[in-house]
Amino acid sequence: MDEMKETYIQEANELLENLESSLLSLEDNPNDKSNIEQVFRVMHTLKGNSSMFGLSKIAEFVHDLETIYDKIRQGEMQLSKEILNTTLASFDHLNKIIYDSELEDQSNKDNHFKLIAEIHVFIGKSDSVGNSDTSSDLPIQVITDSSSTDDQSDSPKTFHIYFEPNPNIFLDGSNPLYLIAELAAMGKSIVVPHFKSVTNLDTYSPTDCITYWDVYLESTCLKTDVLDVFVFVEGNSIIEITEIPFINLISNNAFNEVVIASTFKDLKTDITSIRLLAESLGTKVISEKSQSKLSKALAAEAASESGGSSVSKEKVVSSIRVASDKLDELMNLVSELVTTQASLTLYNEKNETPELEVITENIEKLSRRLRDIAFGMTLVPINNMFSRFQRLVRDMSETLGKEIQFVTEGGETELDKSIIETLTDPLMHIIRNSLDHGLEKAEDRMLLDKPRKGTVKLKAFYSGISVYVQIIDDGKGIDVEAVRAKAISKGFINEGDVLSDKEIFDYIFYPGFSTAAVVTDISGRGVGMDVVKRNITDLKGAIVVESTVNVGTTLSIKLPLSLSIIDGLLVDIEGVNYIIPLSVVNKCYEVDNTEMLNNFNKLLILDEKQVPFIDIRKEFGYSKLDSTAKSQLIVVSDGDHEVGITVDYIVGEYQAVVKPIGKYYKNQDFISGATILGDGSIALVMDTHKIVELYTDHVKLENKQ
Amino acid sequence: MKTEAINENLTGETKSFLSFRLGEEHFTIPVMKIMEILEVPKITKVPQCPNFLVGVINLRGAVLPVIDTRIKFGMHQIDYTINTCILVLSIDVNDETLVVGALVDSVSEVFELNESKIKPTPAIATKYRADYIQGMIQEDDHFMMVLNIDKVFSSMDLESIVESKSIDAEIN
Amino acid sequence: MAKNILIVDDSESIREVVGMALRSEGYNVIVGEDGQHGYELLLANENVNLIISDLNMPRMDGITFLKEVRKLDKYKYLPILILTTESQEAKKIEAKNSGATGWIIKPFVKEKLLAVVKKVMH
Repeated sequence: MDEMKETYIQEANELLENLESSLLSLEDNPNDKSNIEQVFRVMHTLKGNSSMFGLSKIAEFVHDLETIYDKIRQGEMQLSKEILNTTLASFDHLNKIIYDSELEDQSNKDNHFKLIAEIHVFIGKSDSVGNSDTSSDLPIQVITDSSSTDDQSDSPKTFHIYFEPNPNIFLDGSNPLYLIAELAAMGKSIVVPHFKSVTNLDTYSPTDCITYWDVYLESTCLKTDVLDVFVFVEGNSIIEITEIPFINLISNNAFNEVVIASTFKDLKTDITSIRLLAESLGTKVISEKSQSKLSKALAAEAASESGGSSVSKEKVVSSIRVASDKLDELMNLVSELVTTQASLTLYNEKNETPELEVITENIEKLSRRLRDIAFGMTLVPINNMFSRFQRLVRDMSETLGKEIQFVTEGGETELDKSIIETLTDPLMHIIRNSLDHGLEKAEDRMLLDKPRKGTVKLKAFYSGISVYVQIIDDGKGIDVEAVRAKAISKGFINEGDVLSDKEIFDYIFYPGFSTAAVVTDISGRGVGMDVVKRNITDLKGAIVVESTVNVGTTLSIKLPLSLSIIDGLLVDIEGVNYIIPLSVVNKCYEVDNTEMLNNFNKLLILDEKQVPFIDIRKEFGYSKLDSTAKSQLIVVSDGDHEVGITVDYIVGEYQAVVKPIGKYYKNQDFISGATILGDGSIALVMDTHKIVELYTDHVKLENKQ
Repeated sequence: MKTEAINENLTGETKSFLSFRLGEEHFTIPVMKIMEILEVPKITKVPQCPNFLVGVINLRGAVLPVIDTRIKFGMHQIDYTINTCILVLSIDVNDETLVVGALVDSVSEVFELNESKIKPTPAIATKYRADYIQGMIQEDDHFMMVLNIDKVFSSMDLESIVESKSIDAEIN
Repeated sequence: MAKNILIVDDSESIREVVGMALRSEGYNVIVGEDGQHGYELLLANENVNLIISDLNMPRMDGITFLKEVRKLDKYKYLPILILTTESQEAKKIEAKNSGATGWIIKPFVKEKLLAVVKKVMH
């Protein structure tokens, strides 16, 4: 094998040379598609070679590296300076480890895991820090002898296999006879071929396969082994495998009679009679892969007879890839189902009959579960992304010589997977900026009476049908006047323009805003922020900066929750139905209107806590609160705070399918959508965070006047 | 309005138009632009909106914004009568198609008309902004304005589309 | 008579590993360095009984190679196996739809390779 190893090293050297030249030209032309393809291809070949030679450490390494370029060529990622740097470092590393494939050299070993960590940040793979030596989740599986531990593996059983190849099966070089022969080699078998009837010679082609088979196989192998025979043809053939465990039917005379009576006489197998036979012999039939009605019914029966327990033999949770348009369609159908179910619930309330009530409740439960599962399929907790930054912060704080504490909050908040993927790069950029330019060195912080350790906090929370992700640091902050001066000098605004701080900070996101001068003036947050903003806008999100000099900076990113169905509280205000997302509702109180009307600082004491409240009638321009009546106060959480919102009355909980209300209402962003109620009327979905903003703006305005 | 005589020597394309009434005025738009005509259902008002945005309705499961066309044309807001209806229009705005409901006082008729019969609008003959009016049709001694609805309903600005000058002129 | 197997892969290492395994079982092995080369060899050789081809290759990639081979009357029903590191369904299905008989997922042990070869060629 040594000669082979030489071949490997020689070829690896050629590949790496090739890689280097492609990488260098990529540096000059980062958008050159063909170069990216070339890089990917070279890595791919190197990975293949390495794994063939059992050099799994190199193969895994290249696999991860290749993933970056796969994403870039698919357009899922942008080639960045950071990626190129890491790739070049990886290239140097590979040049060493092709001679040290087991990483016996300590410095190679250290470098190896450091680079893997960097790569994982790019490809969004969470890293079990400190535990990186044990490669438990090999991206490349080493194939081992599949000596199954299943207690069924050597017990005798009989299979009935129905195999109907696609008429085109010959066209890709498949030969069904080989498969039948392979089956026959697995044990004792009876093979019964049948022919489909040809009704029209004009449409019949001699290269079509019109044969199909019933095979009875008595074997000790597993059902999966039987299915494996068909691995290359299962996509377009009908294959049904029925397992009759613990019995050798073929050796049984009665069985032979049944087979002869059904299979040979009718040219059609009557599985029922075989099942009856098997049962009479004291066993039960398990059928899983079932495509015909017959075997489906059989499976259902078998499952119900055995209380379902026998079906759960295959416990392995495997994952499959599903085309996204199929998922979209599923979501749409589930949305419609939920709306229809709401109509049913309403109908039931009007025409109460006990039977209908039971059915309605069941459907309600089922559709709720179906909804949660369907929508959960595309959601992942944001934690998956947070943990990636942990490593980044640790490494960077060392490099920068700063003492930094990284805090995450709300990691359980879930977002659509695709949103999380797109969000990684902008967040990484923001955090880098925070660490690099925002946080001061320990000695500088001491002078300002700040704790030695700077803090960067990554926080996520729900608000309405949005998710907020905030990056909060307690660093230098951004000097609003510096930004203002810069914006003036750039000609974005005029000397005399009156702008709020928020509006001024928004110029940070203008392309071309950052220059070397600004980097020092305003802690360099202008760097590439236009790209960050664009990424977030692409996600239909928004980004806002708040900052105070020497106190810190908060960047808030608002993102749409991909969930288009939410659990909401249906309320009524002035005859209009509104939905408040349950995810933000903390508690509801009944309050006398007089108590609120005569309340100048707009604070109520509820459960011994002071809670500010918003008179929504006033905000929405409705008529005044009726001083003789009571209102319901819905206390919602808004970030760290609690705010009460007045409503006339609460109708109940409602599963809302949120639909957009369209461009005409783009200025009414405190309404994040609308939903159709069971009676066909519309309820508006509130974005409570925006309502609080509306209220604060309003109060500020009042105070100015 | 009757169908045009066939033997006339016409150069343009013959299309179907629908005429409707706003207050005392008659307008017409190509039928092609109209997806359907609805009776007025329950309208849900969105708070804090300019008053021409009347609210949203449920159009077979979709949420449809509804616009008070009268306010858009500088008239006072619509009085709901048995004849009031909503024209569901498809509007092309910047390569995008929006669907919007337009409240009108009543729908009059559908007729065929050769496009060459649409005359340019004399500047003094209308109080409406020129780019919202595609042209005019004359029948006997009264006129009907052909609207460029893509323009009319794509303007999301808060003002109505009447030129302020001409309002003054009319009031005076 | 010994069967002829054409291996098409741009990696010399893979060609060697696969070739060695097949030769040890008494097969004749012909090697092509990419899709284009493989196609030319196919036209030049009388009796190829099986093709094993990589997917990612310069000049002519594996999918194109598959499609081209299937256009040749003589090789319409020839078994073709593709070599892939991507165990993803998508790649396999694309290859299958382009005329591949089956696939071998890299890395593999000799036994696995031979088992798959026997499965499609007797």
